[in-house]
Amino acid sequence: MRAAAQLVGTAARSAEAAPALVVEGLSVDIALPHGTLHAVNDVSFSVRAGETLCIVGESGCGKTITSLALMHLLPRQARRTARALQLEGRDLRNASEKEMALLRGNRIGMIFQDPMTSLNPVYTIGNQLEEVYLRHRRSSRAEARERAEYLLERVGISSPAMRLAQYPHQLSGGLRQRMMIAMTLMCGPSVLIADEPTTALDVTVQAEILRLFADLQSEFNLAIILITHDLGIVARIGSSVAVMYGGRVVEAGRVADVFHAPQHPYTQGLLDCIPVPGTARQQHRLGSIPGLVPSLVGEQKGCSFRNRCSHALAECKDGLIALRDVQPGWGYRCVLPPDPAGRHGKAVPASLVAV
Amino acid sequence: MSEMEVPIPAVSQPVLAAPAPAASQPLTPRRLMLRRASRHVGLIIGGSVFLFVVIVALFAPYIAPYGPYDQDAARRLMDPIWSAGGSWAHPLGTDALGRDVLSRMIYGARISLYISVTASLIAAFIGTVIGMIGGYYGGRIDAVVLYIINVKLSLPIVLVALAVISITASSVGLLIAILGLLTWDRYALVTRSMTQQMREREFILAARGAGASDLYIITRELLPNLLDQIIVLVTLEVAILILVEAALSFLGLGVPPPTPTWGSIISEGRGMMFFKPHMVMIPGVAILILVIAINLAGDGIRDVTAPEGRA
Repeated sequence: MRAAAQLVGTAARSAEAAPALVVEGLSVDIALPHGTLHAVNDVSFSVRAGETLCIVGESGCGKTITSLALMHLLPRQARRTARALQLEGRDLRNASEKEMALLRGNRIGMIFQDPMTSLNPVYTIGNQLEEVYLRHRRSSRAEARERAEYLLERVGISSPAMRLAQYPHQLSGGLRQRMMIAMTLMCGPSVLIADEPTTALDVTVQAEILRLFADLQSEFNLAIILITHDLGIVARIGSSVAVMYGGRVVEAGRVADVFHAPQHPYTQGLLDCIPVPGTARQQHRLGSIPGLVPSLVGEQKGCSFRNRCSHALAECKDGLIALRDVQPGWGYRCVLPPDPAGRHGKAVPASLVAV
Repeated sequence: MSEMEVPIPAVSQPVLAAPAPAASQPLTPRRLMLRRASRHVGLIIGGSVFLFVVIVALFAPYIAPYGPYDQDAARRLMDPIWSAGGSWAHPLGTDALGRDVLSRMIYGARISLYISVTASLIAAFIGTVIGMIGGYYGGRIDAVVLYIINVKLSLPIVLVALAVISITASSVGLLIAILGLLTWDRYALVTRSMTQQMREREFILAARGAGASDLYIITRELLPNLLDQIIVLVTLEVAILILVEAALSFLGLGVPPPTPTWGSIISEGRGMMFFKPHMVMIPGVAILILVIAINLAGDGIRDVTAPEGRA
């Protein structure tokens, strides 16, 4: 694949290399009565066509707010700032609501967590799919229906014509999520944001939907941003991963690199929480990260993970922890030096821990 | 693997019945709805009574045996057919001016229905617009909307109507305007709170995510979800407005005489109530039956149209 790309001229390569979505220094502040909530802090990433970026982290770490910020769908009290925010080279930072409405569902699509509630109960599936198409394309309803039938087939739904005439309540969760995927693909977007698309589904359906994502990605040349808290999913379909904690990306890189030798103690902690079949002994407790997510209200100083970190040092307390590069495209936000073996089993003696 | 869930009212089907031929064809939602409607006893009874009154009102000139203002001085205060002195010439008797009560009831249905239905629709429109805007946008806009609703709630309908009518002359148009402008609060409250709930539903976020505008979301995504509630509310309000109109007419503030409405017929019969009770009873029972029928039909419509198929 790489060799083939090198054979093609430089122009073609640079075109291929242009990321579909570039985010740099994205921050979201939410004004609350008792202070400002820094929900997302200086988040940067980019996704190319054919790539899947997984954003992982526990509840409240800013994953969903990040995705809503990309879509310009934040709640009214939220304020978004960014050094760069580009969709297919277009600057979205100062895009008006009208301009964003033209892009949403057209160039950038979003799939939500719960397929049971993300379809309007009073319209047939066909109607809802066609409406998206008609909103963004000058076309006839017949053409829209044709597109809908084609996509339903592509997302693995048999007898699409019959399904299009049905209402959401007549479909199972897995089918509805397929409908949602088909709906976001109606206009052929370049970027697809999926916010925990399989969380509400049972395990077997989850696997099917993930496979579907992979298939569709190559067919439609999609850049996918997948938000999840399931590292299993990341390992399965992610090409790169961004680990978020306390509104910041604490580690980002190729999935293989990050999973092999996690540099941030939080990433290591998350990986330790995954039970591996066959390795668990009796009396052996599942891994967990002690402590709670810190409050994001007020000024954020130092490393937000330090209170839960077994490696914490005095210098974690103040200043801004800079992003360090392990290698180009793989960075982490920690004062510890890079360690090719990862952070496992390197607990700092308690005497050195200054919390 | 059966992904399709067809709401079959199993209880009402005989166990031994062969599968209906329709089951092999795909059941369209419309056919399902009609099927549910055809099994809803309340809807059928209420709907037919209401429809009957509407048809009678529409074709009043062809149905009524006499004109509503025709007086027959020789036959005043006749008893209805079920009394000893009744005659088929005037099945429901005549009033103090010798006018045929049946004819006046038939023409009265026209005015009563016209006023209450039109006023309800006006009120539904005003209330829905106000309520949905407040519920959808929230914040300051909602505060203003709530304030307007509170102002409206503090106005007693009958007193305001009384004040307005005492200044200007009463007419059907004025009555419709007053009732329409004074009864939208319920629609506003219901649509506002439902919009608030619905606004948080994921399909609204999904619609915005698919590029829908606020106007599209309010009119095309939210409104259809509220419609069955609004329809039920309209039927309830029509029933209430029939009563209010009757009350206003009874007080002499409604449609000016001699135009018949069911309320004014009661009002006219009031003086004779103790020795000719039918003059009050007939329009009273008619109002009662119509109001019950409308309520039954409204509940039925809600049951049948709800996409979740509560039936």
